[in-house]
Amino acid sequence: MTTLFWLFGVLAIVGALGVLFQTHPVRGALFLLLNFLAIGVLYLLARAPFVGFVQILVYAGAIVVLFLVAIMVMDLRRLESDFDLGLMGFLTFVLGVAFFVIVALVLLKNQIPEVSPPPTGTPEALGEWLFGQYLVPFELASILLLVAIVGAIVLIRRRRQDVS
Amino acid sequence: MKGILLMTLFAPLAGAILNGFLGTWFRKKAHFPAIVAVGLSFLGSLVLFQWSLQHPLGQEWILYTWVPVADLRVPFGLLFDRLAAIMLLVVTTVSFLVHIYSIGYMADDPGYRRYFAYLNLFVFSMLLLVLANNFLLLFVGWEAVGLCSYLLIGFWYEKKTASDAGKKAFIVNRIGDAGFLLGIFTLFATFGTLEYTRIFEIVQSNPGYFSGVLAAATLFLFMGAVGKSAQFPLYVWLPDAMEGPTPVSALIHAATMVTAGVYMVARSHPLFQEVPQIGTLVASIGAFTAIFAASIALVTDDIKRVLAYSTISQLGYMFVAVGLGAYTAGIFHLFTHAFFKGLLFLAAGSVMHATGGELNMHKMGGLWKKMPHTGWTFVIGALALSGIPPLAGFFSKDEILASAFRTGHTLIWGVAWATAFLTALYMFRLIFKVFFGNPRDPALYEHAHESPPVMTVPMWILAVLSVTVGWLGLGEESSLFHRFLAPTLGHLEIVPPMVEKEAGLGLILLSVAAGLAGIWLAYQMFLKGSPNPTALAQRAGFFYRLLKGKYYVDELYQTVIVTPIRGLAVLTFRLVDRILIDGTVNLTGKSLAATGNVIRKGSSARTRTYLFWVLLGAHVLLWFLLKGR
Amino acid sequence: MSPNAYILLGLLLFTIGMIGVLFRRNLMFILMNLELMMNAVGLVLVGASLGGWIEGQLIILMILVVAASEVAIGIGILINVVRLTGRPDVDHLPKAPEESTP
Repeated sequence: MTTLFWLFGVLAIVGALGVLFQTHPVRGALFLLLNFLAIGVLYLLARAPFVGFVQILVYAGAIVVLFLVAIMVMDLRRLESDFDLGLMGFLTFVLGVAFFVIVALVLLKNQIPEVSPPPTGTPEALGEWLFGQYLVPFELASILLLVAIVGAIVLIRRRRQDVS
Repeated sequence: MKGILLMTLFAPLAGAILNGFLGTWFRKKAHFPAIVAVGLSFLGSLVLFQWSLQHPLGQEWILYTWVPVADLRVPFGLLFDRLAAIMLLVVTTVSFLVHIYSIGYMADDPGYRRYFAYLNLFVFSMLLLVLANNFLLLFVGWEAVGLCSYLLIGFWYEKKTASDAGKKAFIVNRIGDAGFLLGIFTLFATFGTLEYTRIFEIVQSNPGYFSGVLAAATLFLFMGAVGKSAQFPLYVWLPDAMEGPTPVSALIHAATMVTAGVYMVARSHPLFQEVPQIGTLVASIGAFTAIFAASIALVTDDIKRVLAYSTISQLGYMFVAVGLGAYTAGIFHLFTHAFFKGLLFLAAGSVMHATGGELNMHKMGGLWKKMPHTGWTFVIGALALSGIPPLAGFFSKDEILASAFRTGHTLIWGVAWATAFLTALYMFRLIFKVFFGNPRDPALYEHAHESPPVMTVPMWILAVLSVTVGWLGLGEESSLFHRFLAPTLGHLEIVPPMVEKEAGLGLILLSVAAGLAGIWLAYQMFLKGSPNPTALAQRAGFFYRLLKGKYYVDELYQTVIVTPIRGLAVLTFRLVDRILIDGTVNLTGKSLAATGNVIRKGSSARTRTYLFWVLLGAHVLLWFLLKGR
Repeated sequence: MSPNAYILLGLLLFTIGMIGVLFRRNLMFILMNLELMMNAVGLVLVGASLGGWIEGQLIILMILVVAASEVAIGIGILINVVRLTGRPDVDHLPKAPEESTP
């Protein structure tokens, strides 16, 4: 278990760093895929089988593909001077690292004990929650998806003056 | 038996689905699946009737639990007892004949298949209403027949009056149905179940214990019946419902649906028996409606509306009977009325068919020579309705009059007796105007012709039934009909001092005399012309105008209810919607735009700069959160 | 594994994503980094579920929905930006019109 965790944890970090530093959009998307897959496996290891598979299906299967399709359709290439190496970039970097260090220190001071046996997120268990106590958020999520669909269509539709 | 019962119930639904969804396959043959479906139902109800002869107490079938929510468990259950058997027979017989008649009547209508789909759906809903074993399922049927009624009244929806009439029927019924629902809620809150048998068991094993709650519950249920069965003050939709096709008026607005209220009261008689005061109220409203509608019918010129007011009046009779506890008499009148009123409507439809849709009786006259079949059947129906022995109406109406007298409600008896006289008068006014005398409109007279056999044969069958079915009630309490229904409905409780047999004979003579007097007066006035009806109308000035204006009830509702509500709606629209809600929304938008305009001045319009500030903000938050540790 | 390992890993990925969002000019990469951040939160929640709060996994599903919507809208915006300016650069976004009163 522990070995697997470290293995996929490192893979996830590698994927994330790839997304951070890669400048070619397609390669960036592939690193993103690596990260998503690794996180999916980590979910599986953490007794969350349903969420894990959905993660792989939706993120790796759908979202990355959406990125790739957008890249191909728009014919996106590298952007010259993609990184912000000025003062703002530097400050950002410092603030980011500071954020990590502070929160990590707090976390290490207040460790959360593992319950045993840890609960398993089976589809049945999650379904009970989703259609019971969390029905309203669930329905709201569906409305959100609908709004996103409509919004995406409205955004991408070519207006008449664009065509002419 | 279960199989046959299910077939009887669901065959019309299958017909409706076939015609509704695949109707384009049938086109001008749309009547074929419809009639096969109703025919199957008719045969099934005959078999079931046969079965019920051997099984006096009937049987209950629970198909599955339809609503399993918390404490509420409503089964999809069917209850078939002798009351249901009678209703089943009435519904399927009349619908079968009306379906056949419709082939001729609706022949050239573009909505042919739609018509048959609706009609089949109606038969299914009515059967569901009759066969349900609990109040909720009854309510489903109740609403479904209301829906079909709405669809069929507004069948010619391109006609404004027709679609308005449909809406009116629907809205007026809603008032009654709200009461009906409250009744169901009350019953459920009290008994924790909605099945008839269980509620009745509880009520009957604790006599007197529930009378307070039951007074409310039965009053609410009766409200529903007032709406559906067109009693005062919710009767206003039924005359307008005549905008629908005439066979529909015969089936839905005369023979079956409008009697659902009577059926419902008879079905829940263990509840109504507990609260005799409500029963008296029911009977009083029935008696008032009876004479009220009959008096309007006297001066109505539209032949279908005369029949509509007559239906309202006869339904009043039925409520008199069930209100006084004479449930069998009420159901018996329902039974006979279905046949002769169905017949009268079909005959009126035949007249309309012959005269190209003319409804005004003043334009007709002398049609007897042109259409003898229609004339004969119409007279048979009218005689039956007027209570002339030995036709069906005589037996059932007489029984109601007798039970009113014998339970000591002399006033109600008097009103009902006077109504019998009026009934004969307006029916024969109609007959003398339409079929006898000289033709008043030569063009119309020339055009008139007898209807095809596909229409006259169902009319003759109904005519024969209108003559004969009354004989089942021969001998009052010991008749075949009473003995058949006794296991379900029990006997009439007669208040002492009991009226002697001789007095009973006197009552019969009195009611026959009322009918004959009405016919004689109609003959004198409308055929001989003395006393002259026009002169009489002028002499009675105010009263005549009151009747002609239908007591101005529609106008009253318009001013008291419709106009204020419409005014309120306009007010809310102008004030609340336009100013309050739209205003708030617009203000929100405008204030945001104004704020944005101010803030825009101080920002750099570089996205990543914003993000940087967000990050810095996150750090500040973090600092606040961790400050205490 | 203990919840803390998951939470720490989540925190690390979150930081990487956050720096990425602020550090890059390419809108496409900003969107990808946003996805990274959301996933990192998922890891934290899984850690919480190991600590006994199983609803955390439920929240991941909700995040998934939000992420999917966000990508759809984000790419829509990106496409519009590319259409108007020819490149997906956050520092060269198309200018909004001066007066924006409706």
